Parts: sequence; C-alpha cells; structure tokens
Amino acid sequence: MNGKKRNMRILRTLCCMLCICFVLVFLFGACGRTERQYYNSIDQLSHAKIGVLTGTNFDDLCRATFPEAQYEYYNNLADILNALHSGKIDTFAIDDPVARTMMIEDPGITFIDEYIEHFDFAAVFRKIDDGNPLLSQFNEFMQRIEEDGTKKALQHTWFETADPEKTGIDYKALPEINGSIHLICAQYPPFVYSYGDGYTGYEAQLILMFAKEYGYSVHFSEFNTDSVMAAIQTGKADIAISGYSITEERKEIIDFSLPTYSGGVCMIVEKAEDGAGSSGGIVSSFRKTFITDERYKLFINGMLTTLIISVLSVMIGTFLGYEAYMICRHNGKPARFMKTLCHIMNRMPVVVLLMIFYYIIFAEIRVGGSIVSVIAFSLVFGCTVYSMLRSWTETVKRGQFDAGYALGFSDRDVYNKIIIPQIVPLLAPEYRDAVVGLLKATAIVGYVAVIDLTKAGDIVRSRTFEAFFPLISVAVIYFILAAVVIRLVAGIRLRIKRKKRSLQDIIGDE
Amino acid sequence: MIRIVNMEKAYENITPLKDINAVINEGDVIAIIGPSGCGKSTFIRCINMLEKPTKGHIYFNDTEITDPATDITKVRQKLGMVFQQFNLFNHLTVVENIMFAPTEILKTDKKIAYDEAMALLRRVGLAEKALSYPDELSGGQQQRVAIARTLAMDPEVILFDEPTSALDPSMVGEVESVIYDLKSEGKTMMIVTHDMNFAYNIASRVFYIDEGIIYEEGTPQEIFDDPKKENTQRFIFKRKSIEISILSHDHDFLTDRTAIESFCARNRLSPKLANRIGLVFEEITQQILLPRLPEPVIGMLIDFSEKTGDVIIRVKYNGEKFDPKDSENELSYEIISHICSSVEYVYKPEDVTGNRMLMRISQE
Repeated sequence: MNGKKRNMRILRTLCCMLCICFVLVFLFGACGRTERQYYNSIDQLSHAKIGVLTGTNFDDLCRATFPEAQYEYYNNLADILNALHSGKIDTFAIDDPVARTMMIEDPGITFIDEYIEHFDFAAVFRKIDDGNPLLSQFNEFMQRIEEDGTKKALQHTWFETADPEKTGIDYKALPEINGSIHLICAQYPPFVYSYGDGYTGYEAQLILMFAKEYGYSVHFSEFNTDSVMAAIQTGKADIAISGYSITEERKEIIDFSLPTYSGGVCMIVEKAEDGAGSSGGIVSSFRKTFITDERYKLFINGMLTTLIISVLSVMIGTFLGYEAYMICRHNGKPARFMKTLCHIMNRMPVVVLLMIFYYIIFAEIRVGGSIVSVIAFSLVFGCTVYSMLRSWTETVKRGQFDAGYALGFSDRDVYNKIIIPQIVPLLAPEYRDAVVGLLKATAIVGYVAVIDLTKAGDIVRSRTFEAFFPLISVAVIYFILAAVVIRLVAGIRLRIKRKKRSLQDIIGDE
Repeated sequence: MIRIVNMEKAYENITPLKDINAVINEGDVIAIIGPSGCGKSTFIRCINMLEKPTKGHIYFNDTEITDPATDITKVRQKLGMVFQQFNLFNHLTVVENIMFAPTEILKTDKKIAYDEAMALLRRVGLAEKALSYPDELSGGQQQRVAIARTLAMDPEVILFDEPTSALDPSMVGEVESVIYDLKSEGKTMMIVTHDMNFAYNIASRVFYIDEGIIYEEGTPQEIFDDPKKENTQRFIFKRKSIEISILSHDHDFLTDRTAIESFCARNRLSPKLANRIGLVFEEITQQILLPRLPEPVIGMLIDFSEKTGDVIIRVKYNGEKFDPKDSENELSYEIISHICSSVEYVYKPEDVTGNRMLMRISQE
C-alpha cells in the first residue's frame, strides 16, 4: 500500500472516531437531563445519591451526616462534577474555598449555605520517631505569620479576590542553601494547582514563602489523591499539600503541621434556574482547555513525556529481551528464571507492577517517577520481546542452526546473521502491536507522579471541570502518536518483502 | 588427518556410541553403514562437534577438537558438512547462500566471493539458478547448492550425513555424480548412507557400525562380499532377501512394489531385472492366487544370491492342492514361465500353507 492511500485511510478512521464521539456525547447529554430534583437545604439530602472523592475524609463525614444516602466514589473533581451534571449523583461534599472557585468556573452549580462540619487544613509531614526537624521549622514559621498578619493577607488574596495574583513566588528560582524539599500535591484549587508548566495556589505559596525564608529549594511532583499518603509514609516526599484536613485516623500514620486554613465542608448541588448546563460552546472549551493558564504547555510536555517513556522503554526493553534470550538460549537455569519472571510480568496489571516498583522496590532511593516508569515498562517490554524471540525461534528448523555451525559461524553469529533475518519478518507485526500497546499502557504513569499525556488531560479536566474536550484531545493525540510509532516501526522492517534481488543488490558496495 | 580415540556419546537413557576408535587419512572416502538407529548420524555429527561426545578425544591435524579450549568455529571452517535436509538458508538467494560464509567469516570481498560462488555453481551445474531462492529448487538441486556452499569454504574434509536419503529417487543420481566428481579430485570425505550401491562404488573404506562401536571395517569388497563377523553378515545378508505376506483381498500392493524396488536398488540389480521380479510378483498373487482363495494366506520370500546372481522367489499359500500350472489364467502362467528359468511346485498336506512354489529368475 502506498503512503498516500495509507494517510487517507488514517484520516478517514480519525474522522469516523470523532463523529461517533460527538454523537454519543449529545445522546447522553440529552437523556441525562430529563428529570431533575433540586436541593436547597441539608435536610433534603438525607436519601440523596452522594459522590465522594476517594482519599478524602468527606467519606466518613457524609456517612455520619447522611447515613441513609447512597454513595459513589470518584478520583478527581472533574469526574465528580461531571457526575453531578449528568445526574449520576445529586450532591457532593467539598471544602468551602474550593466550592467558591468551582462556582466561578462553572456557573451551573451552587452550594448549600450550611457547613456539615468545620475543619482545619494542614500540611502533611512524614512521621519520624524522634521528631521531624522540617516540621518544627515549618510550625515555627506558621506561628510567626499567624501573629504578624501575613497569613490573613495571603488568605484574602486567594479566597476573597476573584482573580488572585497567581504567580507569587517562582519556586524554580529558589536557591538550595539548606537543602531541598520534595513537595507533592494533588490538584486542589485554589490550594494547589497547575499554572502553565508549574504550580501555584494558597498552600503552595505558604510552603514557598517558608522555603524562601529557610533557604530550601523546592521540587514539585503530582500524585493521585489516593497515593499521596503512601508517598509521604514511604519517604518518597517530604511534604504533601492539597487541603488535607486533620483527622485522628491520619495522625496515626503521618504528622500534621499547624493548621494552614480553618473552614468548613459544604455540599455542592446543581443550580435550580440553570438547567441548560454550563457548556459555553466549542470555542470556549478549546480556549479553556488549551489557552487559559498556558495549558497547551501541559499537553505538549505530557505528550513528550509519553513519547520519551515509550521510546526509551521500547529500546531498553528490546535490548534486555534480546540479551536475556541470548543468555537463556542454551542454559537451563537462567531460562527457568526468565520463564518465571515473564509469568509474573504477564499476569500482573502493569499499574500494580509500577506502584510496587515505585513504593516498595525503589522506595528508599529518591528516583523520579519517570525513571521508575522507564524501568518498569522496559522490564515488561523486555519480557514481551523475550517471549516473542523464544516462540518465533522455535519455528526455525534445527537444520538452519546446524548449517550455520557447520560452516564455522560462532553461536552469536548463527543467531544474528542466520536466524534473526528469518524471524524478523514474521515477528514484525507482533512487535509493532506490542509497541503500540506499550504506548497506550504508559497512560498509567500518573500513578507515580509523572505527568504524561493522560495525566495532563486529567489536570486540565480538574481545572476546567470539563470532561469532553480534554478527553477527546487526549484520544486524538494518542491516535496520532500511535500512527507515528507504527510508521517508525514499519521503517525498521528491513527487506521484509522478499523480492527478486539483482546482482547489484548482492555484490553492491555497502 | 582425523583421529578418534575412545569416543563415547551417551544420552540420558541411551548410549548410541560406546567406544569408537578410527583414523581417517588424507584422500580417504569413508562410507559409514549400519542398521537404523545404530548411531551413524550421531557419529558423523560428533566429528564436527554438532553433538558433543561425552568421553574420548577427536584430533584433527593434531588439534584436539574435543578440548574445550579449542576454538571449534575455526576447526569447523575446515570440516564441511552436507545434511540430509540440505538446510539452505531460506532467506537468501542461491548465490548468496554460497557467498555467505566466505564474506561473513573470511571477510572475502563480495565481488571475489561472487565470482567464486558462480564458479562453484557452474561446477554443480546450477549457474542459471544463482538468483533463485532455495524453495524454488528441486531437492536434488538444493542438495547440489548445499555441496557448493560447503565447498566455498574450501574444507579439508567433507562430512555427508545421508545426502541422498531425503531425495526423490529420480534425483539421487545428480547428487551422487557431484560426489563422485569430488572423489576424483581426491577430497577426503566421510559419508553416512543407506544406499549400499553408492557405498560400494564410492568408498575406499567402509565402517559398519553396530553395538556402539565400529563393528567391522574394511574395503567395500571385504564388507559387502565377504563380511567376517556375525552382525555384519546378518545386515548384509538381510538386505539380500525380502519377505511379503498377503492376508486379505484388500492388500496394499503399492507398498510391496516399493519394497521390491528398493530391495532391487539395495542389491544393485538392473532395472530390467527389477521389473521382471515385480511382474512375477503381480501375476502370481493378483492374477492367479487371489481369485482362487476366499481367505488368502500367502507368504512370499524373495532372495538374491550374490554368487550366482540369481533371484529366487519362494511362495507358499493355503487352500487345497493347486498347481498354478493348472490355472485358468493361462496367459499369466505363460508370462511367469517365460520370465523364470525354472518353476517348481510341491504340496505338503500336513501344513496349513501346504502349496509350495519355487521360481528362479536368472540375471540374463
């Protein structure tokens, strides 16, 4: 098939896919809004369907307040808000400063003006038996800004102004005088959230002021809410912020600083008068998704991360798989070991494997999530390549090896010069599929604090509270990446189609 | 040139070679024969270490190749091998197959290697197939290419592992003639073969392998015409007779015809004589005996006597006394008596298969 035809086919497929997505969205959108009940007091919610963010204490809180209600669990604000709009849930609990920010972004929601509980937010520190020195320093700092009014001024900027001064302190420029702080967070505006290719927010600025004063440099990484606590516990990071409220249960495994913020939990519901939803048209969606806060940078960086992790893992994995096969080819013991390893790798979800690597195997060593991802995916891909080589080599007749040995080729040369050229054309399609599979599988690296394409989409969703546009954008970008990768692998398939070779091809100068 | 001392090859539950001792001199053409499963192929594969002997030593020009320190790849370059299944590299053209080892191992310039390869192809008569792929060739052509590929490395010894066994009978000749050609050049060769005719004609010495050792060794005349030891005699004699029994009307005659043909080939009988044996077999069984016997029990023994050059066919069958001479099928009997120099019949009533026939076919 020639290139033009192929490109046309890819384009056609892409268009079809987009059309199907649009149709589905409109269909679901239309049915979702048939019958809707609106709430304006806490009492009405006792039998409602309530959404809960996983990893937050809203769960216990809501269950205590509304024991009769039904519960559903969501991973981030964007998902929970979409669930509210589509009627999957009637309400969800959130801290009041967040509620205010959400209302600015999404005019279709409001909150019931009654706190279900008062709370104190604090930064999270690792529990160390004889005291965490960083925590004492931070508490000392908190005490001071409480007294001199700095904290109050900061709260005013972030919670009571419509458009707070978003930049604040640029953490990338902080000098490393007394060491560095590894700060982790989950998107939780206005306490902490992405801005351009960095982070800002009320709590973020608190930490940055502290770091500036005490001479620390700061590195941010982002985690899913459900893995932040694990990261602190295992010492992956020094401080976690994202509006963590102080609870007795949490105090058992980690330490809290002095409160950074005191407020209450309120219930978000749909606004009665605005049944039409909040979508402001495709142009506004596009602007929100890509332009506002320079979010296109997130997508570009995410895409590059995805690409780099995939390409490195494919290269290292191919090398590892090949070398492992070379070692195991004649030798029983390493072969049995490899077989077991492949069984383990193939029978475990990659996401679980990745987390085991990050939180257990590399827990003590401070290596970045990207490196751990590359290591994990390289191993997984290495096992795939190993199995591929093993099964395809078995299809080559024994005599091909014998003939090579008898002519005087070394063991490696027999394999590389005689066997590999015969099996490469056979395994090329399988290999290509494995590469594309890996590219897609990297979508889970968000679990270990890497912002890849999927995670970038998630971040944007949690800021814009829009599901459709970011998700479709991510899907389209993946599709294009996969197409590019397929092209690249196809380029590697040398001399695959057997053709009549001319004399020139055979003796031609190389 | 090659010296083998106390070589043993043992597998987990079988030991095909127990104690092999042999010396191969330059210019020798050794035919290795023996019953199936006696270890002939294992023996020849041990010589270039495709199978590692479990005990003993092999020396090639005073280099001990069984020594783990020896670079076996270097030795193998001087020990060519031709396989039963040809084993050409399927992803390369014919000429590339031949050029492959010289360019990759000896780093010969591609143009020179090509010219040499073409010269070799001309020698085995396949120059016009240079740009074909192996699977486009017949078995005989593939085997000739395989021989050319081996010659491209200019080996001092060539090992043949049943070079004609996988070939259609019509293609055996073309491959054998290439090997005869190599012999006339004085190449040292070792050939494992089932084709006794070929072994007889090409070999300067014959190894008969049995019971895990070289059981008997000698010139072709000594081994084939006058074997001294018991197993050799039995092996050589067995190939001089063939037994066939027919127990039903639906008997598979095609298999019998093939068996008779290969029996004739083994004994170097002329195709004309082979044809006549086949004809007698068909006339006596299919035309004369089977129509008369509702529940046939026919036994047949075909013998070839080297001394007189006569073939003797003994037939015994069940039923009442019946001399084929009295058959209604006069034409068939006419053919038989015409072919055979003598036909005898006796009846032994005490036996189930009491009818006995003895037919003799002379070489002439």
